[in-house]
Amino acid sequence: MGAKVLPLDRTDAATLQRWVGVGRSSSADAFQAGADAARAATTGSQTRLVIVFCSDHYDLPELVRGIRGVTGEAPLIGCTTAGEIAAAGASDASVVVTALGGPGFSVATGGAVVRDGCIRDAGAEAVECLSRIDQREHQVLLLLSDGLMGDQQETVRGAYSVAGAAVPLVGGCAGDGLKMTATWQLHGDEVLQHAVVAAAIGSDAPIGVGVRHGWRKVGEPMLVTSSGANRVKSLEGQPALDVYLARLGAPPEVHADPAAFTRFAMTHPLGLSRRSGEEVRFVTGADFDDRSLLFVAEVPQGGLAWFMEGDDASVLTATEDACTEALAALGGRPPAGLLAFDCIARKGVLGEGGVREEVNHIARFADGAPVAGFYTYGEIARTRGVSGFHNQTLVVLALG
Amino acid sequence: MTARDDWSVEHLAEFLARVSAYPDERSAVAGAVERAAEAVEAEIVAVLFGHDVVCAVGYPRGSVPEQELIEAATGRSLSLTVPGAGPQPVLVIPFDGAPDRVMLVARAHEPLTTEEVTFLRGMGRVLALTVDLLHLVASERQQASENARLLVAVQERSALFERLFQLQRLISHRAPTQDVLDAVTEGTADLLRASVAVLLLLDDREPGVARLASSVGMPPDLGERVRETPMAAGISGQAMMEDRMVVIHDHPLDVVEGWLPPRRAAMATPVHREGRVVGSLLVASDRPGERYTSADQDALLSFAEHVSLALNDAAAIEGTRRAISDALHRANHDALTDLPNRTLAVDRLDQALLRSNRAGGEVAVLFIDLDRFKSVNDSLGHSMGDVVLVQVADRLRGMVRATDTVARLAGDEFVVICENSGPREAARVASKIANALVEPIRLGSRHTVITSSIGVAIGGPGSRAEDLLRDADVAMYRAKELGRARIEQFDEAMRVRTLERIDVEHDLRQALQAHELRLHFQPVVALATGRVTAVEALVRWQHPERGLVMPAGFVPVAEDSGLIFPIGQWVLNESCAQLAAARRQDPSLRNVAVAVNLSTRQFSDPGLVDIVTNALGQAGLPPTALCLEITESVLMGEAETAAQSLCDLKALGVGLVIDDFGTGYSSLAYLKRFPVDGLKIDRAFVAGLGENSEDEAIVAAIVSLGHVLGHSVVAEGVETPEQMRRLQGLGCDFAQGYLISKPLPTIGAADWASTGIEQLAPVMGR
Repeated sequence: MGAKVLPLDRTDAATLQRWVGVGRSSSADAFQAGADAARAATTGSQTRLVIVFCSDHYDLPELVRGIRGVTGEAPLIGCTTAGEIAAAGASDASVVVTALGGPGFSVATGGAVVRDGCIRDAGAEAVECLSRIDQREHQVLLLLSDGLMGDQQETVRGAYSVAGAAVPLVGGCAGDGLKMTATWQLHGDEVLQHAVVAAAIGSDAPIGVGVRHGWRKVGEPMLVTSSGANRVKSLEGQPALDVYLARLGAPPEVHADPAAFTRFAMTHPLGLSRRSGEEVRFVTGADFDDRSLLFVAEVPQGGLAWFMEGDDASVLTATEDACTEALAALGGRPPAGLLAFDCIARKGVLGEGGVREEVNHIARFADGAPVAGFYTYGEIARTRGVSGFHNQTLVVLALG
Repeated sequence: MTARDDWSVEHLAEFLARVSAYPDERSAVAGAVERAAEAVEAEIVAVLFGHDVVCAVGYPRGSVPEQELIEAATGRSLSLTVPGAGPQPVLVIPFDGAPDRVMLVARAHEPLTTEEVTFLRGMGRVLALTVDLLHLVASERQQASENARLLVAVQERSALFERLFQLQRLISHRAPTQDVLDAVTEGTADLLRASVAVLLLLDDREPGVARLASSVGMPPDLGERVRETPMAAGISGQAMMEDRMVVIHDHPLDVVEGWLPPRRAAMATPVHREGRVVGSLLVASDRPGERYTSADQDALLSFAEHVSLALNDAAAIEGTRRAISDALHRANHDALTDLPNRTLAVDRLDQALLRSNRAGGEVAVLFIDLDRFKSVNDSLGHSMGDVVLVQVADRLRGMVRATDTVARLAGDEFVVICENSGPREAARVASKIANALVEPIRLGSRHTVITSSIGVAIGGPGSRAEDLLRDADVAMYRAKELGRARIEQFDEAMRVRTLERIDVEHDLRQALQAHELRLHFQPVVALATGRVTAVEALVRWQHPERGLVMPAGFVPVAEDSGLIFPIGQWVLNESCAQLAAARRQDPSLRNVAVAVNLSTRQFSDPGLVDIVTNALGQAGLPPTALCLEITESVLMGEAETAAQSLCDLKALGVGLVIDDFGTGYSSLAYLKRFPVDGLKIDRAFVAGLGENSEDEAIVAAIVSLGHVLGHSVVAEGVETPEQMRRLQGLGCDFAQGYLISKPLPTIGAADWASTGIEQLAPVMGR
């Protein structure tokens, strides 16, 4: 009996079991914007999940009402961003709605607000929805979190304690248009703050995750000799800030002005040594008094780290590599849709032209399939080990 | 030393620092497991003490494969299944000195390198040491703190019990509620080391407002600030709204209550009365690190319960007091009008007379009886009657001074007692009352007018209450006798008359049996023909001693006493019988009817129609032989009985005529509604014909009205030819009076001839 070659045709019967759609609206009216985007995204029946990336300038309850007016009771998660991504390009002050559905998907969502500063518990609680999906061959947990809350590695630890090693974790931290003041997370009808929202997705088709950052190591690795919480106090036994400024040859204004330092630091992150590459840590600022470097997440003492740098070329190369890695898991089949979680720092490096190019790259890899994403304050991707929080990285999720 | 070596040493140092910061074994192990997993990027790390899986990461929650881990720990298996990656080689690291304690590590994708293994062994060693140390310290710490805790607990408990006992003593000794509440706040503040204790109670009159019931450690103007704060504010409000205890420590918000400066810690619990939340008890402390333990919370609850006890108690006492007061009130007051009743009235009069004895001055007693109230009650119904009584009571209340007493004695009898009032003052008050009471009383959409008969008696030093009351009563009866709607002052002559009245009633009861009642008949002639068309039956009483008594002398007594029923029935039967006999003797009388007066009272008798039917039947007369004369007030009454009787009587075929028309309060609508056959113009108007243009106009109007409505009109009391001429001119149909004939003992044409009826023809212009 000869084996039948499966055509790479979109109208493949198996593919019709699942559909993914993306809609975008820049309408000023929140309700209208939500409704228009949702309508455009709903390209099939039996909507299983609605994912919303939106600007924080919208009246969010109205926006959600507009979306739910179209999608009804279908599970919904979402968050505010530092910019929205769709195949046509990146935008601000807009809403991008992704819908997926069909019998080939099984989805459940969860959400938890952080109480008493316990981010881990919120992460754990949010992903309890995993137990409510049907057993499907492939699973992934989509996480959206409030990155301004604290160490997001705790979110990953919490989620891992519930999900275990078998389920990859993918997602990003909500933004607020670079104001760095307050972000929102969406779950069902609710508009939350200081929350973690999650969607457990079970699929009959493979799911792929790609993680690349596009930063290059600079110089020799250093030992993190003293660190605590989100602060690195010394590298190789020397005050961390001094080592940083010296090794990278930072211009004079960066040595004294906090704003200038932050701008410089955006393109000069730290890379933590990991088996599978470097886990990038965004340097958020410096304490000019005690000469320590500040981060959004923990930098473990005793670890090895590199300073890193990048440019648009390296960033774009990383984009291609991340897409390739994600699509590789699909075994040659075309994706039903791509989701991209892209750090604002990378957007900062790319500039307007670079951003357009990046989105075009992603769209090309999608090969006509819908694309959605947003610019994040931190990215989540755990496919091995227990760590999964990244900065200045691109995470691509490919749904088969 | 390579970077790698440094790396693991540094990691170990960091690891040790972390692990020793955990307060207990379990959390140290959990922390260690996580650090290990992160350090070597292993998916699975687990620690087992014997067969007890202390901690494991990498498995979905609730699916830790204990058996598999135990197998690996004991060396029976060399692999662990990593979820999503299948079986992977497992590294087993035993703790030094405790072979049954191990750490297991399994990583997918890549085997552990030698360096990683070395590092992990080092971790295991550190962890083991740390755990042992923690264990030691913990048990010692526990022991010491246990002892200390017990001691403190015992002391605290006994202090609490002491306080509560004191509170209970206060409550059972019926100490004033405020004292109890103050003892609560004091005790609470003392025992809970609080700088502030505040008891709020909801205001009974103003919903949503709490008032300060008691406080310790607060400024004196707290009460105002509390009043200004919405009840729902702060943890006091929360405790009340949610009916539960609220405890806060190191609250991030600066303000706990609107009226309380910031505090480190505070707790509030609701206070109940009879099961409902009525307030809250709050304590707050300034001490850094203050935490309210469960023992503290229990203490607060106990204090709150005692507040509830005290409030319930107070409520119960208040309830009892009120119940007693209510019962007393009911015993002394009339239920319907809430006026003092006879008992209280007599008591008040006694007091007034006592004062009069001491200080001189006169006391006036006014007896007020509502005229014809019984017929109003009967025709309008008792509930309407009650409305009338209540309105009368209200009007009386408004008439008198605060020092006077208005009381309801019984039925429709009221009494007013005025101190320091002589005859002139009493007369003034009586007049005021009479005028006020005669104002129409609204009954739904209708009005009724009640006149009153008022008797006044004046007493002074030496008078007795019983005598005064009796004298006022006598005067009141005199007023009734004299025609009602008047005021009479008591004099000696009245007493005699009253005694007479009592005699009259006594005699009247026997009059019927003794055949002392007589009927006289007065002819009624048609003005057109001069012929007699009917005779009116008039009752007389042949009293053995007093002689012939006219109706005015006994009918009121009959009505008040109910004797009107048997008398009325006798009158009907006798009238019909006599007419029938007269007709048998003189066939020309076959067109002559007999007219019988019915009192309003008789209409309340549902058997009236039967009585009339029987009277006709027994006499063998057709209904057209009988005409019933009724007063206007019968028409006014809407009482079912009266209305029904009227209709039934009309249906029988008897004639119906309204007597004394123009003197009552007929509603023209009712006139139209009830088909009567005739109107009798009252003699008062007839008397003025030829002399008084108003009476002339009234008579003309009545004639006109009657004819328009299809009624005949009869003039009563015609005494002069001039009156007769005028009546003829005005078109009146019938006439009756001394000019025509006085009432005669029998019905007969012969009698009429002797009276001069035949001579009427020239008078009437024939």
